Amino acid sequence: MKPRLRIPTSFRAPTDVSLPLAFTALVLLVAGLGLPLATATKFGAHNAGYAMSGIIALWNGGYEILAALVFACGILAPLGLVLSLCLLPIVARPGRRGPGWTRWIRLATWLEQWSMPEVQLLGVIVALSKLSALVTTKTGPGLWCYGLAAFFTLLAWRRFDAAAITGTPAIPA
Amino acid sequence: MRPSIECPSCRQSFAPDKSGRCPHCGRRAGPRGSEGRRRALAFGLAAVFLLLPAYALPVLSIKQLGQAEADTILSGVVNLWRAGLWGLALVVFTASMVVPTFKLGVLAVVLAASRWPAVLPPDKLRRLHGVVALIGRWSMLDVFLVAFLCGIVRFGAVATVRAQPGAVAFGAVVILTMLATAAYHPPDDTEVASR
Repeated sequence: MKPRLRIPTSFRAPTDVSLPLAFTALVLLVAGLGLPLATATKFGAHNAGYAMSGIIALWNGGYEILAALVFACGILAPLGLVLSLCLLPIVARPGRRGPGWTRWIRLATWLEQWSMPEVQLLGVIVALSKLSALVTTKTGPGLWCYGLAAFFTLLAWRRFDAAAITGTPAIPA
Repeated sequence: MRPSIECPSCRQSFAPDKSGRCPHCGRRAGPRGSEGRRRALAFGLAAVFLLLPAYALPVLSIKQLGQAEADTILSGVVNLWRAGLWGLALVVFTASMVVPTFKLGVLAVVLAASRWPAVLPPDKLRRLHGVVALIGRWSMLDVFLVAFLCGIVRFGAVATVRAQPGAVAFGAVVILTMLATAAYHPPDDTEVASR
C-alpha cells in the first residue's frame, strides 16, 4: 500500500488563492524581519538597522511603552495575521470545523486592525530620506522583503474567505 | 426573509440574529448604542487632551558631534520642507497632523449624529465612520519613523538619535483614536428601520 501524503487538496476557491499569497507573505515577512532594512554609514563606521533595532533602542532608552507599541503593530500583529492566514485554511478544512475557528477568525480580524506593515514601510522610507543630511544610507534587502510582505499580506487578507472556514453560507449583499 | 448586513470586521454578509454577532468572525456587527458611544467619547476626549503634549513636546532629539537638536512633529515637517523634500513633508504633515485632527473632528460629528440623528443621515454616518477607520492607522507613521531613526543612528558621540516624550504622547493619541473608532459602530439599515 502506498503511503498517503497528509496534504489537504480540496480547498474552496477563495481559500485556494489566499493560501499561497499568505505563505508568500510569511516567507517574505520572516526575511524582512531577519535581514537589515537599511545600513547607515558615518565617518567609516557602519550600522545596520533591522526591524527590531528601533524597538530595542526605544526599550533601552526608557521608552518601553513605545517599544511595545511598535513591536505589537510592526511585528507581532503582522506575523500573527500572516500565520493565521496560512494555518486557518489548512487546519480548518471540511470535516474538522469547530466553534474554535470562529474565535480564531475573530482574532485574525482583530490582528488585521492593528497590523501596520505598510505604515511602518512608509515610516522607514521617510526616515531614510530624512537621514540623508545626517549620515550616508543604503537600503537593505530586508526593506524590499518587508515591503513585499506587506503587499502580499494585503492581497491574502482581501482574498481570505471566512465563510469557507466557518461553513456558514455567505449571503449576497 | 431578513435583510443581510455586512460585518464591519470580516466584510462577510449575513442575516443578523438576536445576538447581533457575525457568524463568520464572531464580531458584534450591530451598534453598541449608548455604551459604545460613551466609550468612544471617553477615548476621543483622552486623545484630544494628549494632542497638545504630542504636538508641543519634541518627539526625537538628534545629537551630532556634541550638538543636540530636538524636533517636534511640526519642526520635523518644516525641516523636510526646507531640505527640498516637499512630497515627504506633505506625507508626514498629512499623516501626523491632518489625519489625527481630522479623525477627532469626524468622530465628534459621528458621535453627535448617533445621538441626534437629524445631524447626519445614517448612510453618510456609516461612510464617515468607515473613512475614519480606514485612515486611522496612517497616523502611526511618525512613531515608526522615530523608532527606525533611534535604531539606525547609533554612532555614539558622532551621531545619535533618541526618542523624546512627545513620541509617547503621540503614540497614545493614535491608539486612543483607533480605540474610539472601534468602540462605536454606526447603526445598520435594520436598526434604523426598527427605530
